[in-house]
Amino acid sequence: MKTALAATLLVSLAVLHAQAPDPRTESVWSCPVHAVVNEQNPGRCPICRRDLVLVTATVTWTCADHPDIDRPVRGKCADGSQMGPRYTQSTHANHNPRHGGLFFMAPDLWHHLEGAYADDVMRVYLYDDYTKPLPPELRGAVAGRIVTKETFDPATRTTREITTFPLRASADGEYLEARVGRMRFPAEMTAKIRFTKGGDEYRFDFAFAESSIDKGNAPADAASLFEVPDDAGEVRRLLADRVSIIGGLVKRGAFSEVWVPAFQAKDLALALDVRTPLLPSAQRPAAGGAIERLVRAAWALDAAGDTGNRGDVEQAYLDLAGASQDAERLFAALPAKAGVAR
Amino acid sequence: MTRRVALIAALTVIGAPGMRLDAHKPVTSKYTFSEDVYPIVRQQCGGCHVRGGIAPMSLMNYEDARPWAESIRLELTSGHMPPWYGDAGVAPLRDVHKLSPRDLDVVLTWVTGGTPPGPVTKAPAGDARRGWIKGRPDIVLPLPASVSLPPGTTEDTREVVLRDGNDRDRTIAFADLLPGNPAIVHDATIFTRPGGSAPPSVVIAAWLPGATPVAPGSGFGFAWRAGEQLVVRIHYKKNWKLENKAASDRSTVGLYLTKSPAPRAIRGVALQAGQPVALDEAMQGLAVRAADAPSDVRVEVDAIRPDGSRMPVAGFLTRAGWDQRYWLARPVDLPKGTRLEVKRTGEPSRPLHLWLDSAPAGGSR
Repeated sequence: MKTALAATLLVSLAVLHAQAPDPRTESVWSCPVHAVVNEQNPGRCPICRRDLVLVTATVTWTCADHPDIDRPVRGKCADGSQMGPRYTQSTHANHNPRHGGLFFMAPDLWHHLEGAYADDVMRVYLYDDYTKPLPPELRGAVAGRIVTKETFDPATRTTREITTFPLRASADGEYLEARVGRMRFPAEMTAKIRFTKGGDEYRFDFAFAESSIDKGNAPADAASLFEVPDDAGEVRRLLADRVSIIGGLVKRGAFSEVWVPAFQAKDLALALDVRTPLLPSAQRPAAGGAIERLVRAAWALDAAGDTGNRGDVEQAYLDLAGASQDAERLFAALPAKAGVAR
Repeated sequence: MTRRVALIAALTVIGAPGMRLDAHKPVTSKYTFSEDVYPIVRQQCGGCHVRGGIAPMSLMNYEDARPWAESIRLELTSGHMPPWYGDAGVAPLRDVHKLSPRDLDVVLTWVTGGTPPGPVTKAPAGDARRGWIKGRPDIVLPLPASVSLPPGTTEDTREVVLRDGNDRDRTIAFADLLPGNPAIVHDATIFTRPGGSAPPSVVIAAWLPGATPVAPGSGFGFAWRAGEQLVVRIHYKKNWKLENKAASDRSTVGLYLTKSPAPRAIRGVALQAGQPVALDEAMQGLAVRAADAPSDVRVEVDAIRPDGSRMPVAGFLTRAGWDQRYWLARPVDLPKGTRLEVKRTGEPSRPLHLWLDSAPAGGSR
């Protein structure tokens, strides 16, 4: 009975939705960071000077003084002026590798790529902002190389590439590839990619623990399977454990996996935070500060892991590990069985 | 069971008020704007991120806030916002203006998780603050004339004498500034000086938008001597919406006089990294501040008392354009002969102007 009622409601709502005019979509040039910028032509963001990227946005109509107005068709505002357009970009979420490789998002937050290393060949699969395969006309503009050996001079802050392999289109044109030869695992290499002619070059640091096996795998949402224990001592132990796991992942370059223990560490830290009132009053400000830094670092690690830049990942990990050490020291005074402060 | 969950999920998505259907709009955030995010940003960001405020955008309603999601993520994860950079790990400070860890997590979850609007509530858009936070000041000093920024000027600093020659000694508890045009007044310094272009005698306030004025505590005040000038130095900065447009401002400074019968006068003890300063009288340390600091310098001030004991006084991170005064959680006793040491890390090339604001320990003016 309940199912039938729900099904009827579902159909009714679907019909209601079907009757509303569909907002149209439009391609506009927008900033990767400031989605409020929407231009008809390429250029730079007036706020942060980043290169604008082409995005698909839903167009609705609104009034400058009444942002709550959001109509699918253009009309007039209360003062008689014409409504202006509002561009709403869609978000994306599927960062799972499709070919058994490692998946990253480019710093322009639009392009994505997956690197898979097998049979002495590094394959790079390219995706758009919806993480759909990049269409051929955009794929053709992508150029890059694989670097398997380079040196960095800290004095001049310059990098010198020692061994590089140009990326070339595969026979079927579906991906880029470079025959890098047999490498010992963990196999570390860097893809340096320019997605558009004249655009910025981005680096993606890969470290393969083993050969990539293309079986269309999608990892389980491990973060959602995690439960924070009630026991404060156990929370502290698990936090130290997660930081150690992250350190291991960072060391072997498994950047696309760091978000799982990073978010677990964050949830454990938040569980300590609610116990801050149980600490001696002199310690509370520093304890709160350590937890705040840990939460920020966990989110930074998630983002850096997405984009696959070793320097960003390592910095975020250092911040997280430092904050975790401070939290461990400051919350050591907490009785192991301390409950949640209300 | 799985089917039931799927059905409920489908109903939730289709029936959620104010939510457009969008094939590529996965919502993973359990927090929504109207229920979870708006109360946080109203409280923590509403001083600036309102329509007509200094910030380039309002965050006071869903439509205004959503396009800034990625920018909010960057600002929060980098620690740039909110613009308060005290380090409680060194020593406790007063009037902390930071998001709590939970609030930080809520907002970051929302900005990265599909920015769901939540139930449609007509959250008031809100205008920039137009009144004195601490009530009517004892002395109100408007700029004598409007300051104009031509279209080609994006950023400028103007120094204006608000009163040339104080008629008698006064002691000020704190000062505030009411921007005439909140969209261009980025920060300001309010100070006294003997006259002409002499350096400041006393810096009364390092004003930032959105910050509530802080009184130094009962028994302390800033001396404004007879004959001295009262000056405001305002840093104007247009946001991207105002670039290439003319703008003007006529701000007002408000002075609040101390009610203490014999307040102790606060003065700045200049500090320098690597060169300890010895106090030639007993003082109480109240606050630390930097001026014209470059970004990302970590500062820690320690006091080494005559008995050799070392005590951390305060720590903070600098950020260019966001100089402010960090008040210690409670006054710190600094006996005569105490040495003040400054440790700084990061950005070694530029000088750092630092002060410990303190008052004589004995109660003399």
